[in-house]
Amino acid sequence: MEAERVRDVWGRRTPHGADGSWPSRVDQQLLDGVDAAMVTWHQSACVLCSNGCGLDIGVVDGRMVGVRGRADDRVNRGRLGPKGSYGWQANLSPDRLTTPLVRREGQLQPATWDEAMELVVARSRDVLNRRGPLGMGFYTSGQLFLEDYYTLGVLVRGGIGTPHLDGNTRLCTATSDFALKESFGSDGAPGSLTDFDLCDTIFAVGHNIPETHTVLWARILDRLDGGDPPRLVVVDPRSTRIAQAATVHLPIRPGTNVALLNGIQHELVARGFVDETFVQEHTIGLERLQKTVAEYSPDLVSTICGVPAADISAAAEVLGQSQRLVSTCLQGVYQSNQATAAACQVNNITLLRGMIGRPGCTVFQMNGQPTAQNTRETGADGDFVGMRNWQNPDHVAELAQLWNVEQSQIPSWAPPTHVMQMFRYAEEGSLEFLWITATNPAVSLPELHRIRSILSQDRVFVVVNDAFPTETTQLADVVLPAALWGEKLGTFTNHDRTVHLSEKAVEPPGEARADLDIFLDYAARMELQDKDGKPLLHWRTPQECFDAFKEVTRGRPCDYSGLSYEVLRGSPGIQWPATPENPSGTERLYTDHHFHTETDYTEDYGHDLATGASRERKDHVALGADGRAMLLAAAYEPANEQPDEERPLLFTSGRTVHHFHTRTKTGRTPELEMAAPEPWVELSPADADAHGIEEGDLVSVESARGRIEAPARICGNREGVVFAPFHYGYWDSSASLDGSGPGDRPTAANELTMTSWDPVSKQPTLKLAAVSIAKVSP
Amino acid sequence: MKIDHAINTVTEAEQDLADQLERVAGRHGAEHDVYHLGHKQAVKAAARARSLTDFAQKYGADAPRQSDPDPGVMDTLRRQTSELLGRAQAPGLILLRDLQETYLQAQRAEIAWVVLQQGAKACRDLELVEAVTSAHEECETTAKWLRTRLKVAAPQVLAVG
Ligand code: SF4
Repeated sequence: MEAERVRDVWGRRTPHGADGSWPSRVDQQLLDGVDAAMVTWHQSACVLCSNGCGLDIGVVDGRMVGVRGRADDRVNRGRLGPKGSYGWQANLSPDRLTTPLVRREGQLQPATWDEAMELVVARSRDVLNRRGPLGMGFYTSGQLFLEDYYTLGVLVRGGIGTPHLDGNTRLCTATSDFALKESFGSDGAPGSLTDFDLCDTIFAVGHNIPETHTVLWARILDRLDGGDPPRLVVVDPRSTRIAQAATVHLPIRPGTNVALLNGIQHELVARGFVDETFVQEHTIGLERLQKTVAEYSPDLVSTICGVPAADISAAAEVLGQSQRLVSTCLQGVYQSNQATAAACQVNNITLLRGMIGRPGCTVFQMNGQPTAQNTRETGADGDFVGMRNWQNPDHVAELAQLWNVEQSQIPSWAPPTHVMQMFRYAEEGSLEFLWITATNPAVSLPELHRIRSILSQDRVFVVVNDAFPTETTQLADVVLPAALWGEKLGTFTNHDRTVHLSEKAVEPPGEARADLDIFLDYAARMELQDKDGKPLLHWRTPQECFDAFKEVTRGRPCDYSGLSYEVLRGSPGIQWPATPENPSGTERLYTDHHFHTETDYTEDYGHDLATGASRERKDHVALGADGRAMLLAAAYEPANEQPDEERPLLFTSGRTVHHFHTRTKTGRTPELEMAAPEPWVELSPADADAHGIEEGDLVSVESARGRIEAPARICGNREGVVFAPFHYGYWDSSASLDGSGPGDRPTAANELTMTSWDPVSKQPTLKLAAVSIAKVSP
Repeated sequence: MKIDHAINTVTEAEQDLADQLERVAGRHGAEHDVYHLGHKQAVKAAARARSLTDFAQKYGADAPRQSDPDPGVMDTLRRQTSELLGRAQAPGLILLRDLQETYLQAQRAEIAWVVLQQGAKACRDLELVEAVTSAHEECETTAKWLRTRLKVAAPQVLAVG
């Protein structure tokens, strides 16, 4: 197969100016030897990152044979990146799970659906009887469909009645979600991807767009090559491709985002770049913010962040002079020190400059996973369904009415439990049942030896839905084979609120089932009922589920009430809110500069950014935001772990363009696997020199928690920073005994990371660990 | 003028709070957020006490302790045991008790700041009023954090059979 998109990741340029006329360019990829005339096409979108590029799935004789970008889709206008072009082949992988597995005498063995589900139900009843609902935990994904999540959300919160339901979005976009709630009063990207077509300046903080969102980068490249290109200000300790394209690149010391962003705000204020009228009319908190940032002179910030003071001023100058500014954050903010505080500072900069709610002006707290946005909307993570506020009794009552359950049934005494806390409960023994769907904590959570040991305990019953054997399924008691994208019908929503319909193009392999159907089966066997004794989950099909979900979003920020499968079918993607009056959706939120901060409406009363202390209703009333956005001040605090003599370097992790998460799909895609088969460790030339390490030498990286080994790549990172991609676990490692752990060849970056999380978003600090390095062998 | 009394009360309350936070953080090393944030809050409480050093001198109050919070000799041991006992049952009740006690201590410090603030206002010591205002707010935040953490911890400890 011609692996063109692997060699040429971003594809042919189609340059354009700042006029919003991004041309289409249709990318198509078919298996070798397929006759294009025989192919039938089924509408969908890519599920390999949060851009959610519109595509059609090609089918011949009931078999997936390729993909083709949708020329009119508002997200990609026909383009596909490497993962989109090739990643669908994972569906065809010969090692798909096709039958339920049950652990018998220590071994996972094939079982019937009845056997497996009866076992799951028996253990659920047992735990509910002995420990109660708080003995049960559910950990889901950012890769299922809206309908899967909503079904799970109602099942867990309305049926089982436990607050222990989270998504792996906690590792990915919890900070995005929380930063939007803190600053603007609710989740939901304020702007549109079209703002990239119209802006004159892009501020990218810890967001390596070329590798994480390739088609978005192609969109930006088309601007950079066209007339009137935008200027880029980039914050990233690594010399990435976007950093190389920047007008100002700030390669700061990892963990110092807040200091830098305070320094930039200091300069914006000192040099009169603040849009006084906008700030006066549409925000609160300026006085306190000014007082805080006054202390962060470029000279001081330079010593904290390790970048020249002049570059900090230069960055502020570019941002200050912009007329149409798009800012964007990703994991370099979310998985780093002071995650939410830092993300909110980027929101502040947006507000100080008045750059929101108009064409070419916005802030993206970007997502990572394709359907993370739906986990947040449906309340299958740390949120309440329909962007409701768990602390607002009226919101809970409304939900109870919609679900027809007693209000007390819905856990709202505390925020939904985050995954790190759930694993802690499993560790200390109060949680005995854990159902994991479409995610792989045995590679993706921090401090892996701890995670493996928690999942391996006899007293914790672990159920896993997945399409493939993974490190996590190897530790499970019951494994349920799941249908993948393309094998089920449903919808999902990308990072600019674009909703896509995804058709069922082929049948799932063997006995694999859609997660939605698995949950419905479980709910029926558990006899989960509403307060009139009717089945709690009153839908049978994805479409019925979507219609039920629409109802719970009516009048909330993520209003789906104007959408339906009919409307979505054939559409170029529709952005919520979409109401019956406005079924074509909404390109930008906050165009009237009225934000979601009224106390009765807001999704969250907010937190103290340093400790995560919750504001209660009275605290929120006292703020008097009342539709104005919040400028939020935060002092810089050093990270929980600092380099010392024993471990003098800072470790950070990230993605490579060819892989997604723990490689469960991309590692089963020939072109992608061939392009990046092995992990590596990036070192700066100075650090490599100091340890006598040359390109290609096998290097060991060690933290207080663990160790990994990989060949060295010597590159332009800042001195003192060690990088490794986080994708490489053990399911296909020859050194591993059973595919769950490292054997004698540890490669997963999270062997090194610490059990520590942001106080507000509870997102683990995966990008910071003190390490030492040593050469293992040439 | 008896401002020195009010300063002493604040200093003692904050120092005790600092020591208590440090002890609790150490004892619950397996609760990773309590460990990290507890330690950070302890350092802040001690710094709040120290922020009164000049005023203590001015009003003839006792000099605040200049060192960081003192977890006591048992701390390292406690922390190690806590991590080792991460698997043990029923650390929850101890966690609840510790967080509650610390919350009460934070409240004691908080009200001491209120008292001092009233005195400073009546004596028209505007510098002291300003110093007290920001410290008071930070102390309140410490209490709110403990309250938030308690509200999260209590259901699991009390309701699981
Ligand atoms: S940019 Fe993301 S959504 Fe688009 S094709 Fe690539 S992986 Fe898929």
